[in-house]
Order: sequence, then structure tokens, then C-alpha cells
Amino acid sequence: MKTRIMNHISKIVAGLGAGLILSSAQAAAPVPIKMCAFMFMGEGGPEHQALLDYQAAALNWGAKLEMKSYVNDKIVAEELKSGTCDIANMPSLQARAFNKFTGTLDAPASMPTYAHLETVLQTLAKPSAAKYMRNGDYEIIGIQPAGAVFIFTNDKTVKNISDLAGKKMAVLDTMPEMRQLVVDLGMTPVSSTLTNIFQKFNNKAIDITGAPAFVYDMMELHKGLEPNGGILENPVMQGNTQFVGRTSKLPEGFAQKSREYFVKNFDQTLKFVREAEEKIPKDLWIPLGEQAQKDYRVQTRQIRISFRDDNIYDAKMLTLLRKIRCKKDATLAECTSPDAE
Amino acid sequence: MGIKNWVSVMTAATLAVSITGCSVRDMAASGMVSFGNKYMSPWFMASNDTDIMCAMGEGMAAMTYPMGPNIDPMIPMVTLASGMCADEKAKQEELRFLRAMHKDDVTTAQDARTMQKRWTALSAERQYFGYQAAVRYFGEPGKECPDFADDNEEMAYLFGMFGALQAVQMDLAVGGVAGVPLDVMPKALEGLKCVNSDKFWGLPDAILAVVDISKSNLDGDEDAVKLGKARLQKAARAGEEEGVRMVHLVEAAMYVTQGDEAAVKEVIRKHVEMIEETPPNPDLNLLDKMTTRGLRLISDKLWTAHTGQRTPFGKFGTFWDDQVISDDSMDIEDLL
Repeated sequence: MKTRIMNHISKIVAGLGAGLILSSAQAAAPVPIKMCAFMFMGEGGPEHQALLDYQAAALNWGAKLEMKSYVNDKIVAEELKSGTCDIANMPSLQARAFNKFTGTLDAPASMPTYAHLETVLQTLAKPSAAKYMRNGDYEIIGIQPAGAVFIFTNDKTVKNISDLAGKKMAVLDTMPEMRQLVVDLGMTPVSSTLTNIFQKFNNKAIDITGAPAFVYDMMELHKGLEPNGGILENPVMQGNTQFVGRTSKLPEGFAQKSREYFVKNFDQTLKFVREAEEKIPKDLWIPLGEQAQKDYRVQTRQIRISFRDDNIYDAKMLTLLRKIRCKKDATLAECTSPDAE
Repeated sequence: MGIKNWVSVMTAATLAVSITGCSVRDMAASGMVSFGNKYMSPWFMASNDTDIMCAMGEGMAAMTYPMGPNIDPMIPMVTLASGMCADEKAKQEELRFLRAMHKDDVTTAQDARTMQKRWTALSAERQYFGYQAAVRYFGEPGKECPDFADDNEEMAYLFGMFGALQAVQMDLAVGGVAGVPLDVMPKALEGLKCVNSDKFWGLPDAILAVVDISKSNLDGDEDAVKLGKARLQKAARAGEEEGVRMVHLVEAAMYVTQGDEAAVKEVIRKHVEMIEETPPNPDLNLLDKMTTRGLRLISDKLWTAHTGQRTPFGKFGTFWDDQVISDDSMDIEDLL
């Protein structure tokens, strides 16, 4: 009888103990993490609004993000390196310093459509890809699409990449790779700043500029396109912003959930950009003919390989991108090429 | 009135309509604009009650919008009011979001974000409507400056352009759901150059200065930033001298965008000190009160982000981390 009572009491005590442990685990506060938040348009702008939603979602994953805003992406990267913050978002060009694999996503013409981009991002968001997201103590915890970048030219007779030769294109002094890309495409680079790049195009000081579609209205690029200009239908690259975290400071499971969050919001993120593309007058788009398309693919492939050989782009990522292009269209010449990427 | 007189009036009215080609609706609209300029506008501008502005904007929409093109000069003022009304509701939801985040309450935070976006989208739609009315009446900005018949027309144009900039900014914040074309922004900025800035409390010059400062910041051009800030201060003084401190709100909004909390606090402190020392222009009281209201909302956001509650009652112009004990207070050891 005594033993039965003792067993009964033991069970109650064990149950209470388990309950206490469980409730304390459930009540664990989110870990505070400093985030350097790159917002080109400043606080209150569209990037900030998207980050507020991310901040709320992050609470569910165990982290309380304390955001500090920046308009300069280079400074954001430096702050992350110096330890001022443990998460930062930045354009892929800056992210390359933390992860060359994902930093190769802006390789020219590597993802011709948003369907390609979506497949790539979903692949990278799978748990099986997690090891590629890590580099030392840094981890890519999200990739956010920023829209396809198109070539705007004041000469609609441009039918292939070779026709761009000799044309003047603005380059940012802060982006030496942009200058290299422009030179490799046969164009003449013209130094510019972030805020006068489109003004130069509108004033005819340059012949070519690159931009996502929503810039057409915002910067009145019709002025630069008039009277004989157009926009090459093939995007030159897929812009993207990458979220980089310091692995040792992230709660368990945070990184994976964060990557899935961005994939889940892919369509919503691109909705605005896609609508802007639809609004551009149809007669401004310059379609490349069949031969021109082939030439375009060959030339941009050469640039990618050259950047790979110069150790700027990651070979594995280029292979992944090629495989996805070939999965979508097996007839592409590169798919059977002996020196495929 | 005898039947004979009644018939004479009706005949005269019918003749007027036939000769001018104006419908009764057009005449009513023109009359409304005239009545608004002569009586309503001065009354509102001189009033104290900023909630009336909100109610007026929303209430007058149903009455004025169906009155056809002749009511267009009045619409920018109505939509500025109704747009700011919706914007304020969005900002209250933002405060709810911040309070929820303070308590780690994700569900409430996300609900608040949803409501904030709905109100912001509505504000963008309303403000854009006002810009469209200004374009119908004055022509598209960015080409020639319109010929304003009087100060009321110039003010209507200013409100239309200001509303356009608000509309673009808000619509961008919600992913473009309100459908405001992005080229409205450069056009409205050009349009602002047509308005006499000194006459309108420095507001046009202040907005243009803020745009230049933002561009210069992006380029890292510190000299250009300094020049821009000097222009902004000059614009602020134009308004301060008239007892209309609207530029303070433009200044504070700029520093909010830059994430410069210290500068935002300084502008709020400056504004509170100034309105205590110098009363507003009695004819333009409402504009000053609206400015104070807008700055209080910014203060509420800062307080809530840091403490979980908005600016305490009677404490506008102070902040949670203000030094409580002044440096020149005495030490008890020196006294005993």
C-alpha cells in the first residue's frame, strides 16, 4: 500500500517537473539580434516596410531583430564584418564577399526569366542546400528578388550585343565589376554617381543604361529613349538582395525558416516589378531574333566563364544555373557543349 | 414671392443656362468654389480643431466629387485632408505594431501591419485623386507653369502637387496597390517650382531642398548636403516669420527617413519651444496645428519604439532619455 502511494506521488512529482520544464521552454524569450538594414529609400520606404514584416515574422523563429537603417550598402557590409550587427541585408554584389556561391546569382543572363529565378531560389531554400549557404561563421538566411535588370538604349536598331559596341554606358565608380562587364560587352564606360546615372541617359550624355522596369516611370526614362530608343527584351541580370547572418548568433532553426520565408513571398515581392514591366509601352521592347538570341547567350556565357576564371564567380553556382537553364530548355547549345559551365 | 416674380427668375435662370451653356451642376460647382474660397477656406484655416479637417475631408468628398470639372480647384484641399486622415489611421496602426513588437506579440503585430497597409493604400488613392483634379484643372505639371487667377488657385495647385508626392511615397510603401504612376513624382516636383515658396510658408522650397539633400546623401557629397540644409533652414525661416511652421514637419520627416533620431528630437524640441514663444498666424492657425499634430505623431512613434507607450500627456517636446537631474544641481555633500 505504502509502495503504491509512493509510486503515485513520484508520478505526480515527475509530471509537475516535466510541466515546469516544458512551460519554461515555451516561455523562452526571443534572442535579441542587431540587424544592419540596408534601405536605399530610407526609413518608411518600401524596403523598410518589407523589413518590418520580416521583423515580425522573425519573432516566431526565436529572434527579436533590432534594426538600424543604412542607405549605403558598402557600409552595411563593413558593419556586419566588424560585429556591429549580426544580420545584414545587401545587394548580391556585396554579399559575394560573404558567400561567393550565392553572390554569383547576379551573373549576366544566367536566369533569363522569373521562372528560372524561382526554381533556383526554391532549390537554394531546401534543407539539402543549407551547407552551401554557410561560409565560415556567415550564413545566407534569405535571398529576395529585386527585379530583372534591362538594357535601355537610345538606338532601337540594336539587334544584338555586338551592336552595343562603342556605345557609352554609365558605370558606378563604386562598382569596378560593372565597369569590367561594360568593357567586356564592347561598350565605353562613363563614370557616374547613383543619382545622376539616369539623368545622363535622359540628357543623351550616355547611350545605354541598365535598370529594372519600375525606374522607367520614376526617372522618366522615356526622355532618354525618345525618339528612336528601346529596351532589350532579354534581361541582363536578375537583381537580388541577400540576407547574411552570423551563424553562431542565430537561434536554432532560424536560418532555414528565414530562407523559406523569402521563397514563400516570392510572388508578392515581384508583383510590383512585374506590373511595372507590363506598364511599359509595348513598342519600346526590342525582341532579339533567333540568331541574335544565340549570339547573346554565347557572349554572356563567355563573360561568366571569364569572371569564373578570374575567381569572381563561383563555378558550382554557374553549374547549377546552367543545369536549371538546360532543365527548362534542353535544346540550348550550351547543354551539349563539352566545356559547359 | 408672387407667381410673376417666380416666372421671371426661372426665365432668367433658363436664359443664363442656355446662353452660357453651363449646366446647373456647373453653376453649383463654381458657386461652391467661390463660396469655399471666400468663406469656408478662411474659416477652416483660422480654426483650432484639427479633427474637423479630417471630418471635412471625408465628409465633403461625397458632396463635391460628383459636381463635375468646375469643382476641381477645391478637390486638392479636400483630398489632402481626407488623405492625411487615412494616413493618421495608418500611423496609429503603426503604433499598435510597435507596442505589439515591444511585448513580442507576433499575432497583434502582424494584424497591425495589415491594417497599416490598408489605410496607407487608401491614403495614397485619396491623395492621387487630388493630384488628378489639379491636372484636369491646371494641366499636367512639368511643362509650363499655369497662370493662377489668384492665391486660392495657387494654393490648390500646391496642395495637388504635395498630395501627389505623398501618394507616390505611400503607394510605394504598399507595393503599388493604389496604382499611382511613378512618373507623378518627377512631374509634381517640377510643378512645385511654379509655386511662390515665400508666399506659401517656405513649403515648396523645403520639399525641393529635401530631395536635393537625399540625392547628395546617396552620392556622399557632403558639400551639397550642407548647401541643401542651408536652403531648408531658409525655407523654414520663411514660414516661421509668418507663424506657419509647416517646414518643421518636412524637416522631421526627412530626418526620420535618414534614421537620425537625434535630429528628429531637435526639430521637435525646436518646434515646441517656438510655438510656446510665438503664437501661430491667426488666419492660418489650422496649418500650424496640423504641423504640431504631425510632429506629435512622430514623437509618439519614437516614444513607443523605445518605451512601449506614446508621448505622455503634457510631455510633448521631451523624450524618455532626457536628463532628469540637471548638471548645475547641487550636491548634498556640499550643502551639509
